[in-house]
Amino acid sequence: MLRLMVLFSVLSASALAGNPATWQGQIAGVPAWVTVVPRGHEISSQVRGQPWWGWGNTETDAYLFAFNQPNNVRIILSFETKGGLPEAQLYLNQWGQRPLAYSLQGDQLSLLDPTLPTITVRPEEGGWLVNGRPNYRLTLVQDGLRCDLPVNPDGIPDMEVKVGVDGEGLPLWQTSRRLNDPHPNWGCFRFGVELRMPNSPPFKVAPGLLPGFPYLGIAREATDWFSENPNPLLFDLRKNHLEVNPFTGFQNGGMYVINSNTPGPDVAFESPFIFYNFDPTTRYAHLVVRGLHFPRWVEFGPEPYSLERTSFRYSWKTDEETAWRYSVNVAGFYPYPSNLEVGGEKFKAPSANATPKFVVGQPWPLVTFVEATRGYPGSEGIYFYTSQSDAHWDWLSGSVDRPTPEFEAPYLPEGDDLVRTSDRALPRGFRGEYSAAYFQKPTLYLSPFDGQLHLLNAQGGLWNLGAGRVLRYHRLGQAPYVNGWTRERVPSKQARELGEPIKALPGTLEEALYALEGYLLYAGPQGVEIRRATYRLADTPLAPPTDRQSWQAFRQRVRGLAPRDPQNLRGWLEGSPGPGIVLPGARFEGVRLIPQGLRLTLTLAAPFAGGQGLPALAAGRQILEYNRTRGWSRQTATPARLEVALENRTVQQYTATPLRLTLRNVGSLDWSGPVEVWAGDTLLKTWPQLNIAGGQSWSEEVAFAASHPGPQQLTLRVEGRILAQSPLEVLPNPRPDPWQTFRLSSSQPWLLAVILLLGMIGLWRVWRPL
Amino acid sequence: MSTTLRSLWARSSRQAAGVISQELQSLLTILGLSLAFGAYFVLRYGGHWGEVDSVAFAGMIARLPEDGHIIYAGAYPHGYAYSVWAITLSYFTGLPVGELLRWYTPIIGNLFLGLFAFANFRRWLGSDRLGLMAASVLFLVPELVFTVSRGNHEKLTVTLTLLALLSLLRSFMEVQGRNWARFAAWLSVYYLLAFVLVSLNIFFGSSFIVVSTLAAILAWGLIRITPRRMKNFRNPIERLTLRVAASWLLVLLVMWYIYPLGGQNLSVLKTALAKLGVLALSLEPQSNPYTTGRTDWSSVAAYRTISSFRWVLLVGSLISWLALIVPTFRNLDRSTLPKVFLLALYGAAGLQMALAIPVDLIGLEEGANLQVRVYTYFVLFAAPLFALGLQRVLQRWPLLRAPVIIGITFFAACSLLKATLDPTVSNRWIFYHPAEVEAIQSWAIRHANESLWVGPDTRLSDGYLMEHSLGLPNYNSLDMGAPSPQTYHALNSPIKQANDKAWGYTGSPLLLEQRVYDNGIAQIYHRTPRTPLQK
Repeated sequence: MLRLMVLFSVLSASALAGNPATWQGQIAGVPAWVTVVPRGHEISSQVRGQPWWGWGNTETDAYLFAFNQPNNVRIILSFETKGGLPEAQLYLNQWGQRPLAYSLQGDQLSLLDPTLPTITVRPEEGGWLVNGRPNYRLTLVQDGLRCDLPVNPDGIPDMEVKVGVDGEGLPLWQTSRRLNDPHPNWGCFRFGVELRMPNSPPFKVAPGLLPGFPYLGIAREATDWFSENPNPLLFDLRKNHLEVNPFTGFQNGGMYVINSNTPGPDVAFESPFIFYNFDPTTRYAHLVVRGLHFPRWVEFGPEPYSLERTSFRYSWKTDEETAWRYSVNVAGFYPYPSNLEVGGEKFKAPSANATPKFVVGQPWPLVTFVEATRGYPGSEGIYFYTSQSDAHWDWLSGSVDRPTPEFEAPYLPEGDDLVRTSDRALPRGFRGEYSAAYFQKPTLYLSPFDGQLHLLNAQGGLWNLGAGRVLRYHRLGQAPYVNGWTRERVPSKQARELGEPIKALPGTLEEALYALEGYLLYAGPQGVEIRRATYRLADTPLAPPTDRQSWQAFRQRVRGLAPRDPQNLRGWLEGSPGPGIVLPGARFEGVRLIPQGLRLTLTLAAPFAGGQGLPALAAGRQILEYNRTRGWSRQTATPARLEVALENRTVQQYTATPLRLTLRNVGSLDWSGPVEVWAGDTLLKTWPQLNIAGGQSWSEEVAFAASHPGPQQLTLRVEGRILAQSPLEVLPNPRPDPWQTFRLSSSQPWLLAVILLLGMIGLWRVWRPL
Repeated sequence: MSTTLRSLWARSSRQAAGVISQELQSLLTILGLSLAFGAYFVLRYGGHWGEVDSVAFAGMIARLPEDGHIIYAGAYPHGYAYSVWAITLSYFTGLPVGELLRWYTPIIGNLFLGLFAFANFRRWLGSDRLGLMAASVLFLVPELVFTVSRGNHEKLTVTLTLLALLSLLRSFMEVQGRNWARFAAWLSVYYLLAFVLVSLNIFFGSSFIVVSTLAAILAWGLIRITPRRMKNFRNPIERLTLRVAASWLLVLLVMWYIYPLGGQNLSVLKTALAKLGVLALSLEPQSNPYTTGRTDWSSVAAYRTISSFRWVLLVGSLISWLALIVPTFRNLDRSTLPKVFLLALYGAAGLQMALAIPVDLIGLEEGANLQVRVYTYFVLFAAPLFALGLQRVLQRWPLLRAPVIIGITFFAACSLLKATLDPTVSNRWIFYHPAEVEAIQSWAIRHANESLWVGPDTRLSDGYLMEHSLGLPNYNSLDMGAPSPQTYHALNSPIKQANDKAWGYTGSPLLLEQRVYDNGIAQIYHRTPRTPLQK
């Protein structure tokens, strides 16, 4: 059905035979005037009784479209026949933003502003219709794109679009290539491919406005690609803008897309972008893979340009066809291997069949896993907590020694609107896990213990519970599974930029649960429980789905998942009965694995007489250790206290010298905090969070090169306080004798002396007395 | 009869021989002096020198034959002729571009300077002796010696400007003498040189056209003010105006048709005009090159000492000009054409230099040292006036000869120190040890897509690129300034350490890492990886 609502039509009283005729009515609910300019024929009164598109033809005539006012002409569609083939010229002023200026005398139509067409459409052969069906073997030339900004045409074609068909004559592929590129360093669209994949949902497109030229539409509603493709040439009456939509489809299921800001064959930017459909009864995609690829030395994307920068966002749905549920994100350095060809255009990218294995079938250095526990709408997958953030490339390129801090402390927005920091954020209801040094195939597993899907060997992760609360995942020791859960209230007062959400910085512990060494260790508002129990932290690993079959299997596996309530970690113990002790009013901290067992710091409100293998415990703070062979033992807790050894040295000005710094924690409690080393007013090095276990030492060399001679003070600051100072003498290093520094041979000074002597003789001869 | 004829012939032969001998002696003297300066520049560092402009030109020249066209990726945007000249020399001699620029063209530049200056000044001043003195004054200007010695186009633009000025003067003199054949010959030489100069550099090659234009404008102003006094000069000024107009047409011909890449000079002009407008309105410089550069020298006193001849020449030539301009203008009828031309062109060149100062203050990307570079062209007009003035002083006070000769010797020594950026006075060293370049090359052929830190300044990068004009192999790069976090290798050597000390740079912690290469002079260190993603 046409999106054309004709309420009434009135023939122009002034229209004479052989002259243009104007139809007045409504198009898409907007008052419209369509003036048909017949060329070489007349519009008889009999013809005028038909709908306006029957008044002219699509070989020689022209159509003027005005909206709201008769003189507000926004589109002029002019047809010609060239070389036996029809050609459509679409005139637009600023792509429809402004009215066109023209003169119309009889059938003589002259464009005044702009004088050139913005879009020219030609069929490869035949007419606009073949056997009564639209001919989709087309070439479109666009003029009026400054980079990607719509401007008026200048006579130099900017973009060529070619469309090809399948066996049924329906659009199968479309290629776009920039023809005029005056700004090659700007990040413009330069090369594109849209391809309908085999077994994609049936092709469906909105009917055209003119049956004789079935590509043009005029609309006032938003496009719903999941219902049908909009008209390829669609004038949007809300924006007064002509959109050029892909003939094949866009982000509906079954599409393979290349969106490159390089001309190819080495494609860059959003390439490939694939929308897999595993159920052809719907036009939705069930798996979307967005590649973000910048070949080496392509100066777009994150630096450094000397690296091949490849990353993927890999999101899939489960039972809700409109909501994304899971996403695996990878980043690394793989080049694109294969040479593909679509419509005669060659480019390097993994094919639709090969891409899933390219992403989840090979090791990557950086992997994140995200679950939208309440689903996430949209057509492009899950954007959050992704490896596709530019911020990760400092770590990936080796420029920094620590991964992006937002892995451990992502932004925690309450809503899922897309903002600048979304790629490092977990909105409310989203869970995320990461590994910044993964180097293996992305693999997931189901945890029967918490009823969640996790990333195998994740380094950390958390679940944004909303209102400043998070459930943080811990993986202590060498086990590849999550074995610790802490629910925290993150600090509400944080240094942050205006408008930025808070981050998941370490906060106040509300509940903690660890499953270690056959024990469940729980701490909550009521106290501590230590229970000997049998539990299972993981089922067999699970790979992300790669095709229809594995997608179905994956859905089956996760369908029975019953996630535990993150607001009640105490309740999780109920699934793992066993003997244990309850210590009301107690709390613990510093849980960690040690050789042969585990260790924690326990604070008791009242003495404990012992039992269930635990020794008697006094009220107050103490160290509790568990050894697999010796069982539980207790140590007196002495507060963490640091002793410092700063090397007192003499260094030379300008010369980098290593200075060894040693910290020893002489207490039995663990110590952690920020440490800084200063030489005079110069900060030499900072450790944002240094951890020194009770009774352990830490040592590191710090490089120091002084610019000024004289005595200086080497200062160690811990948590902002001066912990120790040590005098340092910087010896002067005077400017060297250049003749000693650079002498190629012993004869060089003599040779230079002879030359100088000859020069002096010359000067003497010039200036000698007359 | 025969005795008389013989004696006459003998006398005329002696006279002729004397003249020839005097000319030859002057020529040999100036060639010897030029050779000494050129040879010192090259041999001071045994041919192992490099600086940023020379490196840029070495690369551009070396890439020219790869493309086979004068417009190619990375071509010099202001002119093509220098690259063509240098690559032709390279082909004829079989010498690599870097070697040619390091060893031979500095000597050629100094020889051209001495020879063309002598040929020019002897005509302007009407005396071989004065011409010789004036030509020798040029070598006391360290900026000029550096300019004609380093590897860029200026050794030709400066020296050919001297020849262009000679052809300008000679063509006017031949018109006065009605020697039309010679006039045509000199005119042809003038336009040929103008074309070559503009092809070398559209900015600096047309410097003498700018000076001539300013002189013509000033002259027309004088004609308007005192038409009777200037009536004898009206015809020469009209001819000069025509000459200037035709010269500008040549500039446009090169810029628009022969070397369209040079057309971007117009956009520079547009930017400059816009920025000058901002400067005029705000009076706030966007750049001030006159406040920088002091850190380049070991001390302010050293810098002032070695640069002092700049002021001596400026003041001396100005006094000389002032002393000559008034009597010349009063007795315009009896003044010779060379004298009037010299005074007019000196004034115009001074004006051009003064105009360059605000341009420097606006901070164009194309270079913020216009005044310094224009100064070298101003010197070409100042030197003859300085020599003329000094000769008159010495004639009046002969006792001053000895101090003058001592002073000239002192300034010559200063000139050599400054022109070679000698490490005794400069922190911006231009020399390198071959072993340092060898270390870079050894590293580069064993790595790919990596960078090597070579220090806070460009010394080693310049040195390497002077020997390997096309850059590092395997997409490697040299890292300068503060080490990039992606740089895992660093070079060290005694010269680098000494240069760091001279600058006052502190050593990089990279030099505390693992030493993976040592050739006895230079060492390379590798940063120990701290993460699984570091190499």
